[in-house]
Amino acid sequence: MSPTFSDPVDTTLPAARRVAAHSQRLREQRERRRFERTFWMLVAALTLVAAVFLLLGSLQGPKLSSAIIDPARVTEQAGQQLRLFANQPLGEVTPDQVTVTPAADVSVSVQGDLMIVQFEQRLRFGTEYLVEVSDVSAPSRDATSTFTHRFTTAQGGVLYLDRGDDVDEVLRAPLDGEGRGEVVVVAPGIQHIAPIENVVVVARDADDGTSVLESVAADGGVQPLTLPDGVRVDRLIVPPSGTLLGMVLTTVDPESSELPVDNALAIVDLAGQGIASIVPGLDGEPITTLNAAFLPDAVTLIVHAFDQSLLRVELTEPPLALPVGQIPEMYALSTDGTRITGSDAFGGVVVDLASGGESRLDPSLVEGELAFGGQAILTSTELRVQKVAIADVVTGAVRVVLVADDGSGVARVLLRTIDDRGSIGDFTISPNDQYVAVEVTPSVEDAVPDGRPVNGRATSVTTVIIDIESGAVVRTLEGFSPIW
Amino acid sequence: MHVAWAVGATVVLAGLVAVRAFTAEQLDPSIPNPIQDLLTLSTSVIIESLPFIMLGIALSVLVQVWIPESWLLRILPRNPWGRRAVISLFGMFLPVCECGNVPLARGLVRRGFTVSESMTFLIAAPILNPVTIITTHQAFGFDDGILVARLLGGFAIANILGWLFSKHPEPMSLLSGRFAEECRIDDGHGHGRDRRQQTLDLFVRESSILMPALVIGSLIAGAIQVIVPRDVLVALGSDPLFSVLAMMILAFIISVCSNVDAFFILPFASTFLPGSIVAFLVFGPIVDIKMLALMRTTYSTRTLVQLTTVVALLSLALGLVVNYLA
Repeated sequence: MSPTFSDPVDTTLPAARRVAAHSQRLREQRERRRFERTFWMLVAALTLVAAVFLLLGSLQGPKLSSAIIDPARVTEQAGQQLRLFANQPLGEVTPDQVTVTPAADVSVSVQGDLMIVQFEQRLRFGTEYLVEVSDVSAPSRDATSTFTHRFTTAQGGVLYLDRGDDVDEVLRAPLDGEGRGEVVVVAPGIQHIAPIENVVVVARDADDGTSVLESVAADGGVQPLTLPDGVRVDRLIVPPSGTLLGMVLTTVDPESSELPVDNALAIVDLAGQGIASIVPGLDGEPITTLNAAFLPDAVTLIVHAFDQSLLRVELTEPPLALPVGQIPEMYALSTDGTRITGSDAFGGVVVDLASGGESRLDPSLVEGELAFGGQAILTSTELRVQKVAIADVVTGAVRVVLVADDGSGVARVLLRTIDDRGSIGDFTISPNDQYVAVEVTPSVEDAVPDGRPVNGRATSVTTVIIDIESGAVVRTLEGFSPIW
Repeated sequence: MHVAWAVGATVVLAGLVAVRAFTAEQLDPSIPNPIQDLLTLSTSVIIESLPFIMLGIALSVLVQVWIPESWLLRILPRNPWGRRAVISLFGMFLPVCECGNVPLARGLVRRGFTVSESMTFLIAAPILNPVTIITTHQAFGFDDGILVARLLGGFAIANILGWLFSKHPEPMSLLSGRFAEECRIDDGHGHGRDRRQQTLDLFVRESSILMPALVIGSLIAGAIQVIVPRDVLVALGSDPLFSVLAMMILAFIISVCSNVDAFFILPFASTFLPGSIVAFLVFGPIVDIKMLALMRTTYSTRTLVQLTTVVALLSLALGLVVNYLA
């Protein structure tokens, strides 16, 4: 197997052997030249291949390698990003190069080979979006290309509570599904529910009229959370994200308690030790709370106190409560977290949280009739969803309907009960302003209370989910307290 | 004799450590920055390579002394293309980086493999081995086809070069004079000696040939890194041709081992085109300053010039193809 070595031609050898050696040397020279030829042909072929692909490469613009987007988060929060990774560093891109279908406002920036398309608003549930970025180029090259990426946003869904005779159930129902949805918690005496990250927090009845607070994981594991002694949970305040949960607590038996509280604002951090603590107000005393809502940052609460003051409570350590304004009744925080709706002696009012300025919230005509405004939630646009009452001038009867009002003077009816016999309860708008989930009791006359001491409802209460734009009912669920 | 050398070296090393320990306070540590950088970079290449060199020498000795002569040759296909294809996958079972493959390739030649077959192994093994595949996947995943292009490119380059040099009419002339002489001596000697003695002799001989080459190659690689600013290379980043050339030059200079080169080049991935990254990952394990110094112990200068030319052109073409397709 070892190669052989050629010896130089010896002139003392006989002529025949010299001829053989000479022909051997000529053969080796031929083979050597053949090798050299093969080598140079290979070099030439490779040079040609390189030249061809260099030419082709110089004619094409950047390419889109991959894209990342969170299809669920993009429906829940504004400012979410579509990250487009190119195969090379990119030049500047301006928003007018970006087209989104269905239309959505975006900003765009470039960092090396990464292009970030940021959606200024939350996107619609279960919708296919097409993002096209035209005339994309590398910093020092003329060749351009178009980046195209399609994605479908997550189907939205609600968490809701369905009370039973023996046990209650917390269910999660997608908007496009059928049936009741997926049961995520089963427990007796559930008062309130709140989804926090990957768990569901439930407040339940205790034997002595107080509440127990528990965090239930997806695998069914239950983690007790610690409340102050002898309190009842009157309300849970669900954050848009994060692990801070707000609540309103009242001491059941003030006389036997050393530190009784009444509608006191409290928080618990589920990422911490799970111990609820009372939030002090400006005077160091608990904030007696009528209503409260988290701002989008999930660490600041807007609180409506018993003294009608509106407070901004930053949940720092220690918490800091700052007055924002004064309002007799607070309805809700707008879906973009910038304004509060409420009412005063003259009707509906909107408080701008940034400026503190107030404006009137006058209801539009409903089916040509005057309406009296009630609970209202503002969306991120001019549109609001509002419960209004319309009086029949002939009979004097009053019917309550839910309307979508864009401030144009004419409101669209989203929901009314059959023969106006039912009642419309609390409602909540999806974070992307697409749907409204409404608690409805179909018939007030036939309603039977569920007999629960805390957060009671009629046994017939249902949750109706309506597409705000089209007015179509997309889902009806037997239960209440819907949370997006 | 070997024991005496080992004891002597150990005593000298211990003495140097002792001097350093006892005079640490007195010595002025203010070495100029470029010299410090040179020492750091060169030492890092040596430290990174040394375990693989040792492992390679050990495997080389194992193949030469302990594996039956006919076994390796018997399991290979007879067809030259199939044979080289299988040889180029040897790295999957001998996971050492390129530095360790030089002694192993030398051992294969001594064991009866042709020069072109040993070259096929030498070129393919640093890329087609599990450690390199895992680290490259960890760094890039399947993004832009970098991993796939590296594996296919390494396989193709090794087999094309194997085919090219198999055409050479005088294979032994591809080797360096000294190594060719050793092969010739090996043909008639050593079979009757004690295997343990052969193992020791081979280990000492391979180490004494390769270690100086490693130290000199590392020093040159370190010196060029100090002299040539990295910014100059990076500035060429987004040009389809110059980015590939810049990455090949970078790979040539820094001489980083194939087992870790993917992590080294990962920060450049957002600045450079994917084809240039592939060219770096394919060219570097085959041709760099340290490897040329090591390969010079085995192959003639002319062979190395031809090998470098073909590998460079193949890497360039591969980089440009990937730039076009990725």
